[in-house]
Amino acid sequence: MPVLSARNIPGLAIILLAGLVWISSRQFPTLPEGYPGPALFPRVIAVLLLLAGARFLGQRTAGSASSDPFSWTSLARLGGGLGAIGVFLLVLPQAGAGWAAGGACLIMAAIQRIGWKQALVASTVTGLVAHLMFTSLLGL
Amino acid sequence: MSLLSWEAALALVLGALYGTLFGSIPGLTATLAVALFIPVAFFLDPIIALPAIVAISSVAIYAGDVGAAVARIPGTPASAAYAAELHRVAQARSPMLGLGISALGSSFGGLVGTLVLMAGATALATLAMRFSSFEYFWVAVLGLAAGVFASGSRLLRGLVSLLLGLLLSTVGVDPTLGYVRFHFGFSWLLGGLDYIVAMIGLFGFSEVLSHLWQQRARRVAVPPGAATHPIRQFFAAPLRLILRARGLVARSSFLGVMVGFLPGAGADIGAWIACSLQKLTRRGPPDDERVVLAGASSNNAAVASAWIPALSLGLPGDTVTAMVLAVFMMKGITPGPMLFAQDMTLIWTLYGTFLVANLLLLPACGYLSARMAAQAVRLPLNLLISIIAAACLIGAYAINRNPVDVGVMVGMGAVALMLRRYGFPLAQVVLGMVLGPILEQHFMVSAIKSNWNLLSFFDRPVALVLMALTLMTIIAGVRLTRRRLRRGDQAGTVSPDSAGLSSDTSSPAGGDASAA
Repeated sequence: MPVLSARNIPGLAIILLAGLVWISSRQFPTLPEGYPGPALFPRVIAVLLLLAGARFLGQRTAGSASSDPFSWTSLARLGGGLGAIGVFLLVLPQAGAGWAAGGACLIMAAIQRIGWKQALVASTVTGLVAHLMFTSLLGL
Repeated sequence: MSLLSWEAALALVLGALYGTLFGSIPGLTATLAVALFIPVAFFLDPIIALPAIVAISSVAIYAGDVGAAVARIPGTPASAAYAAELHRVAQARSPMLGLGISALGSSFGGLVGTLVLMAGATALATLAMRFSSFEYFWVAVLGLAAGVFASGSRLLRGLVSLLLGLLLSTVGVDPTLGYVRFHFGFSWLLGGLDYIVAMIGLFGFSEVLSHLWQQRARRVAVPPGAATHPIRQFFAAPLRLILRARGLVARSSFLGVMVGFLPGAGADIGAWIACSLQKLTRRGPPDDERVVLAGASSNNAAVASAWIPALSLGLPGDTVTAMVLAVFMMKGITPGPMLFAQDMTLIWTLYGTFLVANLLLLPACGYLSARMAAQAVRLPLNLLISIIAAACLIGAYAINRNPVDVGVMVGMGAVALMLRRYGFPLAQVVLGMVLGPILEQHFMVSAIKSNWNLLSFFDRPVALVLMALTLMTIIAGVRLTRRRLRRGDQAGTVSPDSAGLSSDTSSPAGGDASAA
């Protein structure tokens, strides 16, 4: 089995992460008399991650992933989800957290092609409840 | 004025309803609910204010499980230990049954915690005084060991998730020496990552992302009969389970009390150990209902036991009791041994409140919230996902009123999506984030105190007992996991975190057979 197969992705990713943590922790200072300081804990984690990653590479079934093939539709839906987050952050300063959540709900419903009546009712109710709870009561 | 007055009774009921509302909304926690109540408490008689706080915290901790049942979003780090199991019970059987087990388990656990509070508050508080940084270090190690074995047969994956959580906990200012780590030049990372924000992303938003990524239209499969006989499902079936598993309830509640009274993360560790123990010692096929029962009873037992150091010593057991101590101070009451001699009316009112909250309010409010949850899961999945997405966004923002937290939540959701695709459990990430600072701080403090003589970690009797318990957990866990794997029993260990809101989610292949 080649080292760079899809099955080995988790093991390789864990080893890479361990390496990055170890390298980053080299900048941390040590205590007087050479005792380990803030770098100790991240380095212990890095070593354990390295060992776990190596163990993963040694396993035949380690990296099996759930089978959801890539598609442009999925990517577009994920992009739409990010759009909903953008709407939330944009509306937040103007309309408050409650209605911003309602707006995000509407975009999410639109991405998933829920009927417009249902989407409008759901987002209005969500926005209203969130507005009463978070903006009116908590002052968000 | 006493607990029997109409004002006190009204405060209890309103407090419980308020706790239910707060606990069941992602991002709103028992701590926040109590914090918002403090200005009101300032104007109330302590005999009314303190029972209201008890009612709020007891019910809000349970209500955190409503999010887990509907959308797999746990309300507290402790309920992350059994959130996947509760969600599976809600999906496969009914939300009423799942939340009934959680509510009645919490109720029994809370009663055990209250009885221990009444019988041995001073003795336990004295024991807590003997805990130094060495003992706390070993308690955290024990919690982490229990967390790994709570991942079932997927030990290696559980360990990696735990290490990821520990790594995330190192972001920001180092808890002992004050050095800033892994902030990459961003000032908003100085304070570290909020684990509640991370929980919303890991459990809630990853579900949204996963749903958007899936191509085929999915539906929530509401099991046949889920909507019929709600009272029977919420009360009768869980009561039968509790009677059958009374040993489990007693053991889990006892664990919740014994670990929960330790100031810090006692409640979280107790629930994790209880769930892990149930998974390891089960006979026969995996039983999600018993895991939920173990976790819920331990979780609420710890709510009562957190009051032990607060009342006896004036030391907060958790964030809620820290605020209670503030109320004591506002009212000119000095907590500690003298309180038991000087103001027994207040003490007995508190005991009575715990009993009423656990016997009456928790089941009643639990039933109301379960009815709402049962309606929520009947919504079309696409609509439910849209509402969950909105709840995740506003929940993440509400915690610190910081838009950056929304970004952190989305980032954690993306990480969780990748972890789920490869079958890594998510709950262990949260445990690592919660216990990481405790572990590191107590290790560093102990090491510096002993001038880096690491043998001092094995010098103290209580520390030795805790170390022996940790070793026993590891040895028993490895042996039991190996035995199960030899029998080819991996049921219940595959895809607990991949089992999303739909019933037809494909499970990630591969276990950690060789890892055990």
